Amino acid sequence: MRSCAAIAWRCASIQPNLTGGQLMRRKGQSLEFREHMPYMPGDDVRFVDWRASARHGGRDDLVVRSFVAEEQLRLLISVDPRATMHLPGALPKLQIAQWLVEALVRVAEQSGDQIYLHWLFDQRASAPALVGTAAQLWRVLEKRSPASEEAPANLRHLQSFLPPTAIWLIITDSYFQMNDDARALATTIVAAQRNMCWVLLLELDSWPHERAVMGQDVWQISQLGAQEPGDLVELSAANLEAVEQRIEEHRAQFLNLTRLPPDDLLRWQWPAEVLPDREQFFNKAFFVHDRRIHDIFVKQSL
Amino acid sequence: MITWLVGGLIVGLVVLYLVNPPIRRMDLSAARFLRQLPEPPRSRRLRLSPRRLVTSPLFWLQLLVLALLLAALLAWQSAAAADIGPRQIGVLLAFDTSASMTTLQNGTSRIDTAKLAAIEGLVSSLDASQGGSWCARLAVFDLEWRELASTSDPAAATFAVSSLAARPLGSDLEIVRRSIATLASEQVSACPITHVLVVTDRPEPSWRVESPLPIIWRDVGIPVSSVGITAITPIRNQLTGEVAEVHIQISAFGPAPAVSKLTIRSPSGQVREVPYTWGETRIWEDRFAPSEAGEYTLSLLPDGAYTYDDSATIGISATEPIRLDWRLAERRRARSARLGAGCPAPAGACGCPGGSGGRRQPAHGAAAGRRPWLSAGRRSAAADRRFRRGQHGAE
Repeated sequence: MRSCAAIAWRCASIQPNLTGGQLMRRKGQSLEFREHMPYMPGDDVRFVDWRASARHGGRDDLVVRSFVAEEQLRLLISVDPRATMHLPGALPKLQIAQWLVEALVRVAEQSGDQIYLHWLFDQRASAPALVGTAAQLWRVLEKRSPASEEAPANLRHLQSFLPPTAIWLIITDSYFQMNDDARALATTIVAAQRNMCWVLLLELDSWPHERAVMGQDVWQISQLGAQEPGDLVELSAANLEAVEQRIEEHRAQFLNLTRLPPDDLLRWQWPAEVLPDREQFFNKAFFVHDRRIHDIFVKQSL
Repeated sequence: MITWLVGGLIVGLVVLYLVNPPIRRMDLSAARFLRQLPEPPRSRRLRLSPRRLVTSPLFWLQLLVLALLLAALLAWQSAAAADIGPRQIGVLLAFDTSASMTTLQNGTSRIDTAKLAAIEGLVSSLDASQGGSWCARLAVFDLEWRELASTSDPAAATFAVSSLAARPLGSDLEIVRRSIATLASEQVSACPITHVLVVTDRPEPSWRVESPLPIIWRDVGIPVSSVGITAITPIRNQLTGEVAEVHIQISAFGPAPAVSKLTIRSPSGQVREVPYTWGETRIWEDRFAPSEAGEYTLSLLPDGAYTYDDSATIGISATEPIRLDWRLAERRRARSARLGAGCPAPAGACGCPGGSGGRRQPAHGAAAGRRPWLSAGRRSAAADRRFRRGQHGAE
């Protein structure tokens, strides 16, 4: 709570003209003058400043007055709820995702911004839910049904929740299959960027921790919830290297499809050691020190 | 051999924990990236996991047990190696010569079995000396302790043992304990005792473990069936003290013969034979009234395994007739009759016929011998009455 309040205060006190995601000032309808702009076909002729046009422009060069429009931030958080997000047991990725959502909700509570929570993979194709307060977030989390590995990407309602200037934060481990759903997700991300949305992809990477726990031995690897015994795998140095290469290739393949700029790709990595205090680790290692997450709430002018 | 076996067990334990550790199961979020890896699992091949050795408390516990066992074996072997070599052995052979050693068991006399056991013990002690000095002291015990010989010649010791014989006496193990304690406290001896070999048919007593000298106890006795005279009880006439009857108790231990026969021979040569058919009762009681003084001989047939209870000799002495001594001088004193031997003097001289004024009674006769105290009491009461009347008249 204290870290959320501190982040909210720091974001609110940041001066304009810094890069950030929150579009607080843009051209629009209000009483506050913003600037003079050359007249473009389609502009309302009522806003033509005739004096300024006569003083500064040529015969056919008209100048119109533009005004400041203030809008509230809309943040859409898509969380990957598949079974792989319930691992590793020491600190599940889904737990980190829920803590992050809760922290953002608490920051947004103070700034009055809108936050919607969306399940990235869902059998029921549920619509994003407004989580204005932490209590609303808990209710949404309680209603959540676990998603299987075969659950389809839930992309149906996203178009209406991603207006221009909205921020879309996607929290996932990117371990999903590269199938049509994944490609559709990448296409949706590209479309959102074209629609003037700021898309942030937060990738939760627990592989360093899981690799350290396993060491180099023979294991029976199974996925969470699987009844049948898993495959017998020997984690030799060569095999571990091959696994890491596969993960990187898979990640790069998906990111290429999304066309996201490198700055909008966040990666939170689990340490290759035993995690002592999980909440403390989340606060210090992830949430507080990731400035890119804080930029969501920075007030900025375009 | 055992040491090598324990060492092999330790090596086997290490190999058991090192090779082919159990395959653990893990839920992994990146499981889909672990399929069809370049190197296949070595589940069918030899796998070594030193980590299991380090992290398993059970392994360390088992290794500790085996290591302690190995250390104990090595210590025992080193102690045994130190014991090898010439040693000084002094053995005391305490041989039981009580009557029960004559018992027949398995067709052999018990004392012969004991002699063999004693000789075996002496030979074993000679072997234990490993060529060092050896000596033996031979002692026998029954109801007394007798030291017979002390020798360092095994042949002489063997000969002395073979010449031992039982005596018709019981055995007392307490004198054995006392004698061993005395020997242990001996300061100077030509044959200092290091071991005691007791050969007897008695079971091992409880004081053996507390003995100052190590005792090797050889109990050669085994249970045998026997029939024998277990009790002879004289029944006396309470008045005269003479033996009126003799009760004989014969007991059977183990399987008894179908019929036993008790023969009673009187001093005059009269023979009375009493047969008895054994049933479920293991005790047979008989009695006879001795007709005369002298030695009566009892013999039981057939003989049992223990021979000393098959016959007995009873001596019955002659009894004197009852006589009454009337030598009572004081009339006023309470008179008492004394039973005993006959009056040593003539009746008139020793006063046997009674006091003055009294009714004269014959010193010898049927009346005197029949109820002497009644007649004396009656006369005494009458005399007292007369005496009281005379005194009153004088007053």
